[in-house]
Amino acid sequence: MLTRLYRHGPSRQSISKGYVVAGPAPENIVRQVLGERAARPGPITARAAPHQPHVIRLETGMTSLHTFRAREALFKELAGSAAELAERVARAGGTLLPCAVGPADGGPWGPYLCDDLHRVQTSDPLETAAYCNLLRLELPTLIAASGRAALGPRGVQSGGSRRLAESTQHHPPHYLVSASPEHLARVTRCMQRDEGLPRLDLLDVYPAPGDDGSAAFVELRFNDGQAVLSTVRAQALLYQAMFICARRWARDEHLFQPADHRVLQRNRSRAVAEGMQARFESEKGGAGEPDGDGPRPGGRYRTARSALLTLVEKLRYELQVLEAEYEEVAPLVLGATLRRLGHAGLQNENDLLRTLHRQRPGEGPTRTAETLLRSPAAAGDLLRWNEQLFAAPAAEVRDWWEQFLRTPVEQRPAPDGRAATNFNTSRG
Amino acid sequence: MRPNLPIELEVDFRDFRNAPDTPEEFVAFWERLSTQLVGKPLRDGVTHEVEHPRDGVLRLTVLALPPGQGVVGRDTTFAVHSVLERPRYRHLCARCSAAGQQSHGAYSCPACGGASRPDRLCDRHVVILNGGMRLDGRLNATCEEHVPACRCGGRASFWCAGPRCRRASAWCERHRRQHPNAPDVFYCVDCYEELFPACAQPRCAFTATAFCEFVGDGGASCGRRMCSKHILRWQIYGPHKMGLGLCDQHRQVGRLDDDRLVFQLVAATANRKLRAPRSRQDLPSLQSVHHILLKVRQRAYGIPAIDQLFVRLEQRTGRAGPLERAMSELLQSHARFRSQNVARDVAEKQQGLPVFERLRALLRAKGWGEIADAVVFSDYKPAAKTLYIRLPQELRGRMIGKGGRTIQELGQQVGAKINFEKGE
Repeated sequence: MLTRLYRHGPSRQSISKGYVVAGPAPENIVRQVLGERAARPGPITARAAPHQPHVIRLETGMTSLHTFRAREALFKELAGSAAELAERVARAGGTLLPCAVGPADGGPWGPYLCDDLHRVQTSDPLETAAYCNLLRLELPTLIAASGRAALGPRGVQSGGSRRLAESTQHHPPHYLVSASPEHLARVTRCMQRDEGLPRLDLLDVYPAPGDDGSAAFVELRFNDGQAVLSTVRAQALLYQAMFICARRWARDEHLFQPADHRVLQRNRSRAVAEGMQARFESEKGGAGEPDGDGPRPGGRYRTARSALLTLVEKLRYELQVLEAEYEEVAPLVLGATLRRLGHAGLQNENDLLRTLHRQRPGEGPTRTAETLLRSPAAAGDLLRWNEQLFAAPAAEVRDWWEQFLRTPVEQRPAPDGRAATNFNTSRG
Repeated sequence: MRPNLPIELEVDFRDFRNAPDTPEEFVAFWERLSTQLVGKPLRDGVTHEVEHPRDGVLRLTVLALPPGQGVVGRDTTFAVHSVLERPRYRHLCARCSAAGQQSHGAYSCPACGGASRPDRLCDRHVVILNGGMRLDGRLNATCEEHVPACRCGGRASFWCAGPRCRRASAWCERHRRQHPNAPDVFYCVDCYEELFPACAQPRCAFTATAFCEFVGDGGASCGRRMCSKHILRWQIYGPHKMGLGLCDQHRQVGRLDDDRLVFQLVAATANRKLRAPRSRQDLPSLQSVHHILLKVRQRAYGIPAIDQLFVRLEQRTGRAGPLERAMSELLQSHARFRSQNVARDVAEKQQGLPVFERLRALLRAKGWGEIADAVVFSDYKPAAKTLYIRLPQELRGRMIGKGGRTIQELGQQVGAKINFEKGE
């Protein structure tokens, strides 16, 4: 008997969670730790990061995160592996840190930066092109939400993403008419000619080729290494929901609009420089979407917060397909919604680390970040801190989002206006 | 009692014909399929293939298998979390369709079909010439039959990226010029000539980056393009500004008489003003012209004499053409600075005369009356504390002394460096 049926469902996804190893000769510590046999058998494997000798990655491998239960199981494993890895690194004389946590001011940040690499499997070139184009459209918003500013002894520095600000290996992606091997080769030639970029894997969104040359998965390279696993989970959920949206549109051969590349570059720079405080330029130069703060006099800009909430709200159908719970999306939406209501909610990990640093003034940045890694329950995450700081409004926000996620979405008509052919009949 | 958890699946219909399309069809299809699956073992994470003699292969990937449900039973429940289907192409390649095949028409040929609904083409049938694609998604795509023609009638092979064509004109191989440093950037002949003109010097392979600014009798610049190696820069605006470019035919400025030389200074500066009206390029001061003439003629001109050269040119210049008008305006605005230059010259000379008299007295005290009678004051630069004098060549040796010691001592005694004026 069939209990559930989702026509446009999720795909396999892998998460490569990056951690920085700090200490004397971190390369040796990484080598020693990776040389040891992991005490914990399971699907998570620890690997060295290519070209980053100070980084260890925890790889989930391609896995399906199609239900709350599947995600819960995977992230429980990931949390266990991360805690065990932190122990092993500590035994080897180092410290395991998330991205952009530097023990001293003034030095170079390069050895303290890493990313969380999300890879989403695609089943055909059309799907790949649609997903890449959708990610490109929302790239500034995604960077603003996932960017990690530097945490030093004096607290969290201003800025959005320290890693992307310093990187010469990350560039805004280009619109794809197709993701066929022939067209990807054309795009590469065009990039080489017009921008001097020789490879597609320098783009923030990389359609990685399979054996036949066509894209087999899409690599999301812009995501900074997060400190808390609940944030990683929320981001994984968001990227998967966006994939389902792209898959749904691709089945009807819609590839999304090509955003103006210059506007995209400017908005991306704003996101990298200002994070969730950024205001994005609307492409047409007309009225931007009114946000919680009311329409701007110029009408050409909207806040990163508004863009993020709009994106998540648009993905209601997809989040329901993924059977998402409020606790999973809360790290993305709770702080932003609280801000919309006029409270100083913590919108992302930069805000969280800023609060933690203020709460424990005598504690160094390394100790603060270590606490988050080794005892996340004690340190708390975005959901817990927001609910603790703004109990009453956070409860209202929870009610609203739980209701939002529960309310069934009407079958949307296909993008060309034809009758919907999706069937999403939950019978169980 | 433990709830009967469903087996979670991904169903792949991509190699299956007659796949169900509506919820009702899918439920009916699944009822039939689940009876066939009874007794079959399923493994977690594995893709199981179900072959159908008529419709092809159906693939079932197990996403999650509840404990104890390794074999499908009659009461086994399923949850399908994703259905993989072949995309429904709204745009099919017209060429493939004509051949009875189906492929995605990602590109369109504007010349095929109607203007409102052009024919679509797949990767195999589209032609995108070099330079026909931009990174913002804009494409100059055509079918094989409608590949644009070059102006010569031949089949085009690239879109010119030059300043005249701006990727709106396509050209053939015969008209293709490769960018000197980028192997995959091409231009048509005209755009290439504009961007990378050849140096006019015979047998020079370098790109011309400058042109001759010498103004002929008709008022037009010579304009010969030359590379930086072969152009001469006449530094009339000082060492830190770009001097006038002169080709090999016009670099002998010494052959010009004084009036024509001053004309060149003014006319070339006026031409620069005409080319770039916002530029702050001004005429050199009279003191600078003094230096220019000194270099060209190897003799010093007095500042009032140089001023007269400009006054004469101003009187001669009418307002007939744009160049003359620009020259006239330039000379008018320069007149005020010239009078300041003359006044400065007079003041400097006044400051220099006591120094010169001290020098003369010293020479007489040394018993060099002959030199003291012959020496003439030329100029004095108070900022550099330098006194310029004129003295016949035959008397200079005695005044300079061995290794320049005497003239240095004299300089220290009068409080200024003593130099002989050039060309005397």
